Amino acid sequence: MAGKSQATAANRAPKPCALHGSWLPAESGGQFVVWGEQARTPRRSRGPLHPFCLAKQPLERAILDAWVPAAGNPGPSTERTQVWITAPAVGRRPSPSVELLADLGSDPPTPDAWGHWRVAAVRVSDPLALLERLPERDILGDRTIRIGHDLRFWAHLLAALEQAVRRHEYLPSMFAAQFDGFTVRGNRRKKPKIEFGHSWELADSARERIARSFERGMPLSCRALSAEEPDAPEGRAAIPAARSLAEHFLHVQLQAIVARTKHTQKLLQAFDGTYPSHGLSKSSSHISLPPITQATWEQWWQWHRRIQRASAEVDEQVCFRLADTPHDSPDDWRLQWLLSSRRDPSLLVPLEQFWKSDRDQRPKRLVREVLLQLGQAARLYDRLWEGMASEAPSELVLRREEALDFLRLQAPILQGAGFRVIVPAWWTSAGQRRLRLRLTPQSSLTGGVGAEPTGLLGINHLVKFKAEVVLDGTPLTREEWARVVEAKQGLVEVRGQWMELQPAEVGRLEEFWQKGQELVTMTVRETLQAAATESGPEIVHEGELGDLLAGLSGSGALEQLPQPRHFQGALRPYQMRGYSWLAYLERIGCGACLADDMGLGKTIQVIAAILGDRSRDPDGGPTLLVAPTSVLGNWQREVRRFAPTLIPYVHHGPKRPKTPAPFKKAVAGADIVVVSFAGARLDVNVLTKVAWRRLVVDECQNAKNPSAAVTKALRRIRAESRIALTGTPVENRLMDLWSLFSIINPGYLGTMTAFRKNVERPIMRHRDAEVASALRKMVRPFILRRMKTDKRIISDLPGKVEQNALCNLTPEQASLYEAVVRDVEQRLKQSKVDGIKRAGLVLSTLTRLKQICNHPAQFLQDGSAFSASRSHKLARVCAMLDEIEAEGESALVFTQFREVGKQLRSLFRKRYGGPVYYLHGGTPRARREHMVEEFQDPNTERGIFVLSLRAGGVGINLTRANHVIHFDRWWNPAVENQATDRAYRIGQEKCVMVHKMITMGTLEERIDEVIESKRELAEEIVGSGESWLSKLDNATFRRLISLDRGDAVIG
Amino acid sequence: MAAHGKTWWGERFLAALDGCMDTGRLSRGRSYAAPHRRTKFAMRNGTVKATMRGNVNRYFGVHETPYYKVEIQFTSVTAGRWRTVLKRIGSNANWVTHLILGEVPPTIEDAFSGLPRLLPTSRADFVSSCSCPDWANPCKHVAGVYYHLGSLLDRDPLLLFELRGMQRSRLLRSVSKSELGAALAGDTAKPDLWEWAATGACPPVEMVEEGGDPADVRSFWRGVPLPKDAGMELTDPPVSALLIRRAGDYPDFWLRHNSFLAAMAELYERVSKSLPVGPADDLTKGRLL
Repeated sequence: MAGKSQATAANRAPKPCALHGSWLPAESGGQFVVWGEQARTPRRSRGPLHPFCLAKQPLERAILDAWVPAAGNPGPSTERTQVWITAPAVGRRPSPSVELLADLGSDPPTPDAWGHWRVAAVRVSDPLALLERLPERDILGDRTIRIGHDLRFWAHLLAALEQAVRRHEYLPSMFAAQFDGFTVRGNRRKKPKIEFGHSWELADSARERIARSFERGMPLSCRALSAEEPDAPEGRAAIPAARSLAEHFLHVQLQAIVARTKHTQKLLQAFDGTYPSHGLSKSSSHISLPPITQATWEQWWQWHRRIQRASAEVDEQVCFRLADTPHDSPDDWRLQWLLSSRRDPSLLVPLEQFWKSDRDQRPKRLVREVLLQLGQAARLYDRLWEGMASEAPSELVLRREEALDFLRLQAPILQGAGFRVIVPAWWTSAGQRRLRLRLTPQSSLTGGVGAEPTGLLGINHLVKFKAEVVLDGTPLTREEWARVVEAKQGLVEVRGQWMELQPAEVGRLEEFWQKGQELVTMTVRETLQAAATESGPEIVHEGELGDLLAGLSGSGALEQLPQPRHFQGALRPYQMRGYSWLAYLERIGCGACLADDMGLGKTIQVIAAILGDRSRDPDGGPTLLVAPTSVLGNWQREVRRFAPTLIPYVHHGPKRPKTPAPFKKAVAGADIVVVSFAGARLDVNVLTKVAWRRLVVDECQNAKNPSAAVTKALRRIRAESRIALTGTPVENRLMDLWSLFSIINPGYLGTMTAFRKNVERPIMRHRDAEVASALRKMVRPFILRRMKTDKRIISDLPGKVEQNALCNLTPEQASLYEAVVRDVEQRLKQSKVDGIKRAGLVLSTLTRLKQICNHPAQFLQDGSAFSASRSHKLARVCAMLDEIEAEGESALVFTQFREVGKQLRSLFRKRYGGPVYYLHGGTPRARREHMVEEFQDPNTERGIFVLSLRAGGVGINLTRANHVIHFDRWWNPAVENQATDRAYRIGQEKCVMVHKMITMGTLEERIDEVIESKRELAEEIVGSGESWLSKLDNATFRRLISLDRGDAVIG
Repeated sequence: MAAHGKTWWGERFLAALDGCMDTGRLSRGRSYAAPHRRTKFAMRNGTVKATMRGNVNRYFGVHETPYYKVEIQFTSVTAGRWRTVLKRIGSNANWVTHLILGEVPPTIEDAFSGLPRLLPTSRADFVSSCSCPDWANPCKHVAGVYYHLGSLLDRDPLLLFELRGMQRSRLLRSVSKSELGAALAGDTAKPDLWEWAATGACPPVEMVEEGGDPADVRSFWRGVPLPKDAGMELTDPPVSALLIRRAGDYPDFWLRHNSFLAAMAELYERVSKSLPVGPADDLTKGRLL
């Protein structure tokens, strides 16, 4: 049966499937099995075979397809097997997994029983390779393969294990087994022969840390597999406890990680003949493996106990405190020893006091503990032994260089080994004193590379500085410097306080000191780069340069520009700041990235900046604006709305001029030329022929790949200033950041290769905090990112911000729309249509047009694809949800059409990882309550809630969402507001962003205008329904529904 | 001299033999430290008695495997001096702690004012005899026993005290009079093989009955979302192999002369290098800037 259905299915595109997998523990080792589920009509259930399970061959193929990326990587090798799964059942069938439900587009059913089924599976010979290369995202497309949460869980757990391995948190271990291979079960009477074996074990602290945090998150599906049929005809057999299953997995994978490592012959020799050599490469026959005896075991046991018992069992902890020494006795540093408590770190008793207390008060155990810990510390820091040669050991006296050695090298080691160390305040990063070079700007030179047209100091200008060496903000005197130079390095006391000198630093500063008053010359850009590093000079904020630096760092008073003269509407205070910031960076010749949260109004800040610049310099060239296709129209419309004096031109569609001359002619009068990313890529040779005033890249995460053609194209475009807009955080992925800067400030972060080597690798591989901090300082002046939750923003924002999200119609939508309008006009002309019939026609027309604006598939009702490419509105909503998901926020999506809700739900399910709920009039009460409860539960993943406007409009509380998207409009603002209030109500902690989707040039936009213009009257006029629309006279109605093609259609 | 003792005191112990033997005997003696050479070995009150298996040598008229009786006696410290010494040890945290950790304190000789000291330094510290026909004393059989003693000492420093006439039990009783000394006597933990062996090669997987209604479909498949850095420690340890450093170098099971810590540190590095760099690293980063 199965074979036959396979054969017919093979001709069509493969059905979406989901891969699952879990760890099947065994007494020695275990196996990782993967199985698959496919959305299809269930197999005719014959016996216990899982009805959705993927057969062996397609399963193997799906695994290979999912893990193909690396070249020359054959994919995980597998072996066929079968396992049993115990899962919730609905009507004697297993419920599909959430991943499969996403593709089926249906709600999770309510299970009525447990059941178990046999599934075809494969055993993965190398689970490490499989889990380490788990595809980051589901593979969507022709061949949809979803990666189950169970597989992701194991990969996540493995990542935590590998991190512990990187931290060297494991040690050689041993196990014992009865000679015949079975585990000894504590039978004391009969003495079986015991065989010892080698293994590796995690440090207790690491195992505890990992198991504790993963125990709770383990999906039940990870515990649902068994190799044998579960012995539970009804209900569920016993399953592995989450914690112990995780620990078992960790243990076995740790063995595998060490075992797959290839060791050098030298290393093997270093272990030759010792018991841990059993734990090295099994393949090597060049070393001798001694039998492991009980004596070895006992030795190992004592050794391992010293390491493993340290953290968890004992509360008392020896602590070391280096006290400041008076400067007249520089060789008398007291390293005091104290007793502290892990549970209560504020408890600190100097050992000196401890020994002085009544002897009977000191438990024997504690004395031994103190000695043991001191001894263990002394093994790490040899000098401690000296201080211990006493009946009451309590401190160690250090000379100056020894104190420095302690601070520099020993303290971090002791700390890392779990001892508590308290160092003087001036050593901590907060209180550190450093000699710094201070550069005071003297005068700025014009004639730097590319002088700014504004006459202001720009980023490429040269500046002369006076250099001096300062400490704590005060220049060093000649005597003080002499002392520093004499000491050269180590701890030196200057102005009554100790500090550390680094020889390299002193040498560098000496150079400047020798030069005396000579001036140093640098460009402003170099100044910024130099000041970003930890040891870099301190730049005095003085004069023009000072203003510039203060402006960049955000500390100075950024000149608040007045709202541009012809700007329509009012900018909020933070938008005024953002606009002034953009204008400021432009004036000093820097590129900028405005990365405000979605909904804070990046668009109008940019429009204000363009407008402001235009009024200052009416002859500057046009602005080139690159944006995703779905928002081209929105830009055009927003420009017209907020800056009617600016002329936008959309360069898009098949009829656009594709050669320089016609293009130049077409854009001659325009202030803003809007182009899509694809357009920028295709027409780059045309676009580079114009000298742009500025380049604005909207949604610049589209150009995050530095080597993508579109990114390269954007880099080639010549513009006096460059602005990027994005709503997703750019800071996290370093190469994305480089790509962004290559567009807005080319060259500032160096070449890509240099950036990879000097920045990305140190940060990613070695977690170099200093490099990260330098990078942060370098990029921060050019990124303005404000979040809805920022205090200053919250005070500027009302609790709810409503915005219209405008979009265009696709050509398909437009032609459908026009056909309907023509048809209605015909019918209205017929005199017979009046009264109730006419009202019916009006209302049905409205519905049909709204359907077209939503999606052609909704109107056509022909089962055609509900894809984002056929509706810009849908594409826009998806883009917004992408951002919302990236921010870790939740959204409500309202629609008045049940069929749209259903389609949205299944589309979102396919597209997003989190749960998607759908509530409509037909949802049973219990189910509805359950969904709301789950959505609100902080322990569940954040998700998307699709609601029908009518059913979801009242009564329920969905405050976990802070975005409300109205997919289509209801002409009654009261009903919309009521819906919005599901999120905007008591319990909401964030500002609620309301996005109203409106297609431009259609009745949606026009009715919005009607409502907006008479907002205060609206409720009276429109009552509760749409019936008022039917009372409009023919001419008004026609105007209302007519299509303004110029506005409506893009591409 | 090639290092033979792993610990500094084991080495020093063996060095005492160097001065009183020619190199030929010394190296033959070293080979007599092998276990099959000893048929009996006992120690009592600072006297070591052993029976060593010699070689057949027809040239010297030895036609059957000969067995030789070896005796080594170390100069005892007198009871009176022991009292002073133990009192000194009991009031020095450095010495007590070293002994707790299974090491001979490097400065221990300071506790023994005058001769004999704890560690033998020359022929004057022991007398030896052997029933073999070799005229030289110490002979290779004596050396074999001596070497064996040295390797025992590596593991058990208290043996040195026994050789100087201080029995372990008496020693512990005596130092226990002081507070610090009591700590030396106080190690009670003993490994329980049976309890421990019950675990087997892998940690046991506990099976639980979680009866009740079938789980909600979503929670069955998804579980509770975890933070990206779940179970991860974000700081790096300052030195390699920090965990095992706590127990010192040359653990008892490590019979080699190269450093255990160094070998492990290299092993750790190799294993870390074999790990993939990738998403797992990203996970731990959190927000960078």
